Amino acid sequence: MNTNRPLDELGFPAVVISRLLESDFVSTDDVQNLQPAELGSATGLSLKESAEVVRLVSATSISEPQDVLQIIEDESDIPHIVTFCEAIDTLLGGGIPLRAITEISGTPGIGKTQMCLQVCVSVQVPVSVGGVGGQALFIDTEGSFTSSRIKDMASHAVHHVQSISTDNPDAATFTVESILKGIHYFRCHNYIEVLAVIRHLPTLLQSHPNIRLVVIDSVAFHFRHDFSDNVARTGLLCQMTHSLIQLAGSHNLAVIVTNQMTTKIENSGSSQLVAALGETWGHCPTLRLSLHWQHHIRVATLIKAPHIRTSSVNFQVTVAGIRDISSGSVTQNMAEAQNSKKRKWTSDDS
Amino acid sequence: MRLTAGMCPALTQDVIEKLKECNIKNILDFMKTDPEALAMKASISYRDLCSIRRVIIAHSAAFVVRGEDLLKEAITATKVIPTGTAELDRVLGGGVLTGEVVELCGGWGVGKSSLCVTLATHAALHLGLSVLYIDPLNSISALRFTPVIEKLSEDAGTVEEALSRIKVESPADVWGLLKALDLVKQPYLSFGRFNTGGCNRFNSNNPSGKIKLVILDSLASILTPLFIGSTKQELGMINQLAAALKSLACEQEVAILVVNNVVQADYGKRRKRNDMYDEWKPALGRFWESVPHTRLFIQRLPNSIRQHTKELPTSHAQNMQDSMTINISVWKSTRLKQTVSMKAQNPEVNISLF
Amino acid sequence: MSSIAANTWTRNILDRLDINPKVKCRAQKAGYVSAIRILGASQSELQHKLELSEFHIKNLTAAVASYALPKQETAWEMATQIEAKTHLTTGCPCLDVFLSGGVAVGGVTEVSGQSGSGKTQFGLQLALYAQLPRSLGGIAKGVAYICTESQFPVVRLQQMIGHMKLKYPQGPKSYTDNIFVHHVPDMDCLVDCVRYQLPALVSRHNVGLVVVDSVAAAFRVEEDSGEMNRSIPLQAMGYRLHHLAASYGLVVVTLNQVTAAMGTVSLYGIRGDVTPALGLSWANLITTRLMMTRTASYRPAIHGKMQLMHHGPHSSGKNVMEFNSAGSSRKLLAAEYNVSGGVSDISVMISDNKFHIRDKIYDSGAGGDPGCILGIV
Repeated sequence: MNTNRPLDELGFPAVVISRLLESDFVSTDDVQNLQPAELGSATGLSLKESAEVVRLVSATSISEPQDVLQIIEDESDIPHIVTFCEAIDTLLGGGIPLRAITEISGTPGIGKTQMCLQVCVSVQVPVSVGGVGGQALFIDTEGSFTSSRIKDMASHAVHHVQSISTDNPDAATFTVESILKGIHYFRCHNYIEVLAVIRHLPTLLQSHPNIRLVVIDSVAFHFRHDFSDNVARTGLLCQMTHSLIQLAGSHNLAVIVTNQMTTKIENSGSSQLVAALGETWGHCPTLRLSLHWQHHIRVATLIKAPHIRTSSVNFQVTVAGIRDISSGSVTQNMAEAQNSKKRKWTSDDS
Repeated sequence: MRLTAGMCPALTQDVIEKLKECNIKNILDFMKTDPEALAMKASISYRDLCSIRRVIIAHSAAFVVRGEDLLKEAITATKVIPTGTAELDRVLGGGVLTGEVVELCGGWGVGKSSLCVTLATHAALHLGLSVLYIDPLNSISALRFTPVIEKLSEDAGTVEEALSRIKVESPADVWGLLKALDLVKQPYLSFGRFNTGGCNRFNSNNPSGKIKLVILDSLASILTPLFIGSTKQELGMINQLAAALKSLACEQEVAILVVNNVVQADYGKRRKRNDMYDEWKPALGRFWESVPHTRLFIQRLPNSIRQHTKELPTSHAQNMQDSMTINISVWKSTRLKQTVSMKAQNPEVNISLF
Repeated sequence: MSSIAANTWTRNILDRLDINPKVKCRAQKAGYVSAIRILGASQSELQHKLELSEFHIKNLTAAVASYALPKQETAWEMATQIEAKTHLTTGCPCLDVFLSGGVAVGGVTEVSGQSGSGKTQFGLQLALYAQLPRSLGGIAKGVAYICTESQFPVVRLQQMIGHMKLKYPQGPKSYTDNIFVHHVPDMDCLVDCVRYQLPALVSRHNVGLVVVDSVAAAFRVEEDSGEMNRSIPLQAMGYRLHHLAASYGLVVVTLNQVTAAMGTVSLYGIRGDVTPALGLSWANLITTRLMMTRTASYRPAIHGKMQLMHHGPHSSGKNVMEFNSAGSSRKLLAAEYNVSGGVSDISVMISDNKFHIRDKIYDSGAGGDPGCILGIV
C-alpha cells in the first residue's frame, strides 16, 4: 500500500519543510523517485537533510493495522496481579491489570504506599500458583519505601504460597530474598529525575525483561509542588503517561501511580475531596482507585474503569500487607481469580 | 505548483528554461507577472504566453456549482450511520452523518470510551461497516471490549468477523495520527482470516471494506503534550489537523467521531453562558471549539454513581450496578434543528451503557 | 525549580554528554543546555527547535536521561545495607520499637497534639539525643530549633540536660553549644528562614536535626487571610523541608497543633474529636505523623499530680494515620497486629524530669500501675 501524502504531514523540521515547499515539493509523490543529491540541488537542502527526507518519504507506506479481534485474542490470556485482598481483586475484575495504568489516590495515611508495596510483592508470585512471576520497579518520590516493610510482606507471601502449593518447583524459588532482589528501586528527589527514569525505562526493560510492574509513588509529590505553570505541568504529565502507556502495551507492564487528594471548592461554596493534578490528568489513568476512610474502616472505591462497574469495597492494612476485612484467610483466591478470567474467554470463543 | 513541460503545447522545456532565467519557477510567479513585460524580458512570444495563461486558468480555476446540485449530491452521497440507540439517534436526527466531524466531550470516567466502543461494535456488527479506531492511549484492550461483547446475542463467528472489521491504530504523536488517518483513503483493507471467506451479506453490502467510521479517542491526549512548547506550534498543529479531519470527512465520505476532554470554564465567562455550559468547556482552546460540526457533552447521571452503603463491614462488593446511565446533551450542531429552536435548553438524552 | 541542588539541573551539561558534537552544537545554539530544559521538552519540540532528526534527538534525550538518572538499587541491597543510620532514637526504647527504631532520617515527622500534651517536651528530648554518639542511638550532630510559638524553654532544657549528663556520662560536654535556636514571629519569616537561613546553617554547622515548634502557630495566625493564601507558602515550605531532609539526610520534626474535627473526621481515620491543624495540603507533605493525646483519666493515677499521660492511639484501623510513611509504619504495624484485633496503644508519661513509657492495652483499662517504666531523661 502506498499513497500520496502531503509532505507537511510527515513531521520534518520547520526549516526543511519550508525549503521543500518553496521549491514546490508538496507531496510524497514529488519526492518519491528522487535521489538525495537531486533533491538537494533542487531545494538547497544539505545532502544529509535530503537523504533524511527521502528516507522518511519512502518509509510512509502504510502497514496493515491491527484489528480488535487480534487484540482480544492476544490479550485474552494476560494475567492480572492479585493483591492478596479478595475484595479488591473482585473490585478490579481479577486484580491489577497488565497493560494499563492504575491510579491509587487517597488521603495521607490511608495505605497508598502499602498497597504499592503489596503489589510489588504479589507481582512476583510464581506463575504456577496463578501469579504473574515478574519483577517490579519502584520509583519513590516521597522517600516512603522501606525494605523492612517489604520484608514483612514478602515473608507472609512466601508462607502463603508455600502453604497452597508444596510440591511446585518454582514455589521453592519464591523466597524473601528473591522477592527483595526482584524489586528495583529509584529514589527521585525532583521531577527531572522522575522524567529521567521514565526516559531510561526502555533501556532498563531490555536489561530486565522480566519487569511486569512499574510503580510511581507518588506522581503528585513533585509535580504538585515543583511547578508554577499548570499548563506546562499538564503537558509534561500527559507526555509522561503517554510513554508509560506505550511501554505498558509493548512490554506487558502494569503501571501503578499514586496520587494525593485535594479539596475542591464547588460553585455553591461546599467543598469536596478529589484527586489532585487536575481534570486533564484524570483522563490519563485507565483505572482510578480511590481509598478513603469510612467509620474507621478503609474503603476502596473504583471511580474509573473500562470494563467493570464502579463500586466500593472494604479492606485493611495488616502486618502481612493488604487483606480482606471479613476473614484473615485469603486463600486460593488468586488462582480462582485467574481461572474465572480465563473461563470467561473460553466460553466466549466457543 | 511547478511549471512542467507538457502542461500545454506551448509550454516546452525551452520555454521553461527561459522562464526560469527570469526567476519564474511556478504558476504563481507566472500569473503574477504581466505577460507583455515577460514577453520582452524572456523573449518568448506574447501569443504563447497568453495561451499558457489561458490553459492554466482553465486548469486551476474553481467551478461555479449551484446549490441545488450540491444538495442533490449531498442527499445521494451522505449516509446516516445509526448509533444503535434509538434515543441518541432521535437527538442526532437519525445518527451520525458521513462527512461530519462529531465531537464527544466529557470529564474523566464518564463513559466516553465505553460509548465509542459501543458505537464501533454496533457499526461493525449490525451495519457491517469498517471502523478505524485511532487509539493513542492504548485504551483498546480485551478488558474494554469484554463487557460489550458479552452482552451480544449473535453467534461467535459473526461477532469475530465484526470485530476483525474494527481496525485499531495507536499512533504515538500527531504525525503518526496523520499517517493513521491515511488508512481511510485506502480503497481496500483485508480482514485477517475472513479475507478468503467469500461473499457474505456484509461484504456484498460494503464490498471494498472501505472505512466508513473513524473514531479518534482521544484527541486531547495526543495534543496536550504539545502545550509544553510554544503555543504557536500548537495552534498550527490544531489547524492542520482540523483541516485534515474535515477534508477527509468530506472527500472520503466517512463519519469522524472525535473524543475530547473538558476543562473548567473561567469563572467570569460562566455567568454569560446558559446552564449547560455552566462549569465545563471543551479542551484544546477556542480555535478547536469551532471545528466540529456537532458537539455532544457527556455526563454521568448522579444517581448512577455508586453510593457505598452504610452497612459496613459485611460484604465486600456493595451496590454493584448493572448498567450505568449517561446523559448526552448537544452543545453545538450545524444541522440539528433543535439547537436553533430551543436555545435555552439543549436537546439531551439519557442512555444506558453496557 | 528551586532546590538545594538546583544548579545540577539548570547548568550546562552538554559537555558531560557523550554524543555527536553536531547535536551538542545545535542544542547549544537553541538554548537547550540543561537537563531541565531537555527532559522537560517533548520529542517534537526538540526536533523542531534543534532541527535534527528523530534519531539524533533520541540519542540526546537518552544521554541526558542517563546523566540525570538517580541511583538504582534493589530492595535486597537496601535491606542488607547496615551501615546507614536510618533512625534517631527518641530516648525511649518502647517508643523506638513502636517507631521501628526512632524518628526517621530523611523524612518529615510531625507531632501533633493539644496544648500541654508534651509536643515541646518531645522536641527538646530529640534535640538532646541527637547529640549523642551513634553508639547510643544518636546521630552526633547539631540541632536547629525554630520557635514560633513561645520563648525557647531554656529552664526546662537545663533540667533535662542535668538528667542527660547523669544518664550518659559519655555524651557531649556541652549540650547547649550545638543547639541553634531561632525565633521567628510570623509566616513570612518562617518561610524565609527555611528557604535561606536553614540550608546555610545546615551546611556550615553539621546540623542533623531540625525542629519547628510549631509550624501551625505561624500559619494559623494568618487565618483571616483565608485558606488559599496560606496554603501556597505552606506547601512551598513543606516541600522545602522535605527536600532538605532528603538531600542532607536530616531528621525534620515539626510540631503541630490540633483543631476541632468538623465533618472531616474520616479524612485521616482518626478517632476522637480533634484533628491535626493545617489541613490536607500540609498532611500530604509529611512522611510520618504522630498524634499525642492527653488522657485525662490517667492524671489522678498513682504517679501523682506531676505526671501526665500521653498516648498515641494506634489501632489497626488507623495506624497509618499516625504513621504516614511506610518506613515508620512498618514496625508500628508489627506492634499493632500482634495484638489481635485489640486496640494497641503506647503510653508515655512525662514527669517533670522523667519521660516514662510503657506498653499497655488501651481497652483493658489498665488504670493501675503502669507496667514498665522504660525511658528516663
